[in-house]
Amino acid sequence: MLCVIGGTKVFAQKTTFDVSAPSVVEVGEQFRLSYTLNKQGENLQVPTLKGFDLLAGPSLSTSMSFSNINGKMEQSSQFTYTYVLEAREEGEYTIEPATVTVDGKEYKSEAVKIKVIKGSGESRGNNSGNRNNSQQREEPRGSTSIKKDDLFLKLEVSRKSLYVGESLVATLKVYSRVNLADIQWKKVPAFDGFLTEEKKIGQIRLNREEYNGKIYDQVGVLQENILFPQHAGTLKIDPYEIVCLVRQRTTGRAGSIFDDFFGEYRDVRVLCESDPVNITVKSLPETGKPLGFSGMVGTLSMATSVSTDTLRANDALTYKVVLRGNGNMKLLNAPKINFPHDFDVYDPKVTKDINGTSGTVTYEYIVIPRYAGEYKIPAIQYSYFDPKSNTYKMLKGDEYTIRVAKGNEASSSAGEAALQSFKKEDVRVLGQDIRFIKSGKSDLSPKGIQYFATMSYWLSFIIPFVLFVIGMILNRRRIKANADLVRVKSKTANKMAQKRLKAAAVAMKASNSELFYQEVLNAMWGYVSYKLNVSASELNRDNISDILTRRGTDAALIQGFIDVLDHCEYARYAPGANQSEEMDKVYKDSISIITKLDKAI
Amino acid sequence: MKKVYIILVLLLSGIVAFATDDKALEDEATKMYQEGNYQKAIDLYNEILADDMESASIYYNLGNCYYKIGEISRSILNYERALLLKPGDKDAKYNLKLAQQATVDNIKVLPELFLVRWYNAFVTALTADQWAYVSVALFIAFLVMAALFFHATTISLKKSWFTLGIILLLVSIMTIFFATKQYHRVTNRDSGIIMTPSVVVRGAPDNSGTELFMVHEGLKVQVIGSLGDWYNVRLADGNEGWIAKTDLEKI
Repeated sequence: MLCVIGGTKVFAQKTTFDVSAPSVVEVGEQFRLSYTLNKQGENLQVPTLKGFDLLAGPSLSTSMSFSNINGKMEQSSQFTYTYVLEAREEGEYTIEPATVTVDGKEYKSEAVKIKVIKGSGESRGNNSGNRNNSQQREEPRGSTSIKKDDLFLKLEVSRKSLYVGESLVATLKVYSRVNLADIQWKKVPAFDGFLTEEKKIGQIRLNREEYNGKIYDQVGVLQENILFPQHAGTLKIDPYEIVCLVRQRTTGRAGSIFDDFFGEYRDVRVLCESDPVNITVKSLPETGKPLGFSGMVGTLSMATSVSTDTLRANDALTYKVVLRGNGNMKLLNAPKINFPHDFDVYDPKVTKDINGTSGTVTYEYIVIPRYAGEYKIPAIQYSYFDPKSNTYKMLKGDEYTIRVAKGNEASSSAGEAALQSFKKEDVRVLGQDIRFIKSGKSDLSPKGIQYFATMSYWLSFIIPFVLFVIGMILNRRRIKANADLVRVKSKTANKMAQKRLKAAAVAMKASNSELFYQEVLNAMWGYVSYKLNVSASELNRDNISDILTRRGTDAALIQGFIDVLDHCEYARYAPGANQSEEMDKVYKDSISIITKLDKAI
Repeated sequence: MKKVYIILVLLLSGIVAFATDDKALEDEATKMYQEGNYQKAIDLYNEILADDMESASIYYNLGNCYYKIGEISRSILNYERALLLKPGDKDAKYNLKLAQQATVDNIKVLPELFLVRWYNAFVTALTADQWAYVSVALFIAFLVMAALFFHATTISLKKSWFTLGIILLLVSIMTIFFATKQYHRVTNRDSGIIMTPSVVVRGAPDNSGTELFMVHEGLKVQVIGSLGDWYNVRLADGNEGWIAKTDLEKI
């Protein structure tokens, strides 16, 4: 029966091979190094223990336990190999892994690090085991005074200077060289200015640790917080206050042998306070801060993906953004994605897998394209601040081109599909903005009103008007002056004619018939020209009667005038026999005609 | 006549000399605006204005810059200035409406009769100077008609020149009237924009005056008087009161 059970257990139980040793020892102190195996093993190979003297061992101790839970038998066994060692010299030593063979398979333990420090002078015993009693004995009996060195609280922070958005780990530890029985929380600081996240610790484990060259047997982490500073400045973490219960032996009857075993103990309450800690929080630099900075501080990487890049209208598409990094991941903002406007976008599904300060955050957007076509989903940009290099960094995703085919005809009836194409939609207003500035043609002009109501304006009325008036006056004068000229000319006409006729008379006396007729013609034409204010060149035998008729001259007179002209022309080129008589007649005729004309006109 | 031409030529050459310098500034400002560097664009536009040059589009662009950096009251002020110079500008009207949506006070302005609106639109279509040039041109045309009238030899010609001349003279007088209207509109500048976020309008030009009502930045008010450091203002709904001169900037 047992064999059967044992046989079944072999398969079920996993082999474990552990090592345990104190992390800090003093020179000359004896301590134990034990290897624990939960199966029967053989051929234990322990590495050479450099720097330590082997005092005893290995000694094997075996423990077995059976349990019956709900009728199911469980058996567990433990084989412990113990070595008693003593440190020789100060320094840090590593005990290499030991190996053991179980059922033909080789198992390895982990390596152990042991720090050896200078002895404090007083002999200290192992924290467990036989020597405990002797150690107790060395303490002054009945002493209730506990020195600050022996029991204190310490708040350890992982960093004292950091950027807003970064985080630090604050660890509260208790260091004790006395028998710590229990603790009672009295005051936990409020962590003003921080966002806190407490790490689960569970059972408080007390370990051996060295601090300031002294070994503390009971060192335990009481609380661990991840702190995220919320604003820049010097932030103070107030002290913790904890009441420690220290178990002390009471002064019993001296020398009673029972005291050692059944000693009366009493608990002493000791108030412990940690020191306040100042944290310097720097604000993020303003220079180079990208637009739409996400607020993330730390390290970050981004990956984007789409489920498909070819689909039908009204089918869904998943756009995934995975942000992986270290920092204030919990405060990450969703990245801004500019999906095409014709896509229906639903709120993203956010999956956060964060362990303390590092982890991944996944945003899954479900988008549904409503219309066929080729769309571009632009690359998303996500910025973060890298405190190591003190710079802002920009992550860029990928750009995707989505080809959307016409919607699935099979899923909707033909009528619906036809209806859809006729469906009218209002133009969707995407945003409102002011109209763009005017550029191009510059129509700058000096400020204010430059022309109207100025002197030059009124002058531009007055000057043309004055010029107009002057023009009118001058014109009038000219007309008048012209009229005067006519009168003068007509006055002088007679005189001119007389002069010419005198010249003709002279020619007549000299019997120069040609000159005579010439002078008479000149006199006749010149007279009409002056009298009528018509230039002589415009006058000839054909138009003279018209002109004279218009001036209201008597027809007989005109005929006489023309007769004289004709006679002169004729006589000039064909002089007759009776010249002197002819000339005398012409002379007289011409004088009488001019005199008559002068009266008529 | 010649003198007027010389004056005109001198004026125009002055404008051209100014413009070459400021045109470059304007182009630069446009570039800055396109790049989103609104503050720099504002500085450049103000530099042009400091040169005693102006245009409706400069004020319009400046209004846009102020709108973009969120100084709504300043943007309203500049749109109003643009509209003062060029009342028919549709873009400026649109942007002014958008900017006014961001202001607090909502005061109903009574709509004008359409005939009044048309008349105003016609008068404001040209600036005072432009009307002035038109009036001078019409007057000169009238004088030409008069000269033709005196020289005409026949009665029918004389009649038509006379009629035309009289019409030109009347239209010229009308344009002088329009120019005067425009002149008063631009020079009086009896409106202002509230520049302080929140102002208490008081019943007397003194800090101890009774508090009448509150107005907020961006509101357009009419200035009907001033005393010391105070303006007497009237709102579009007819309310009146006194505010400190520092709270208001005249258009």
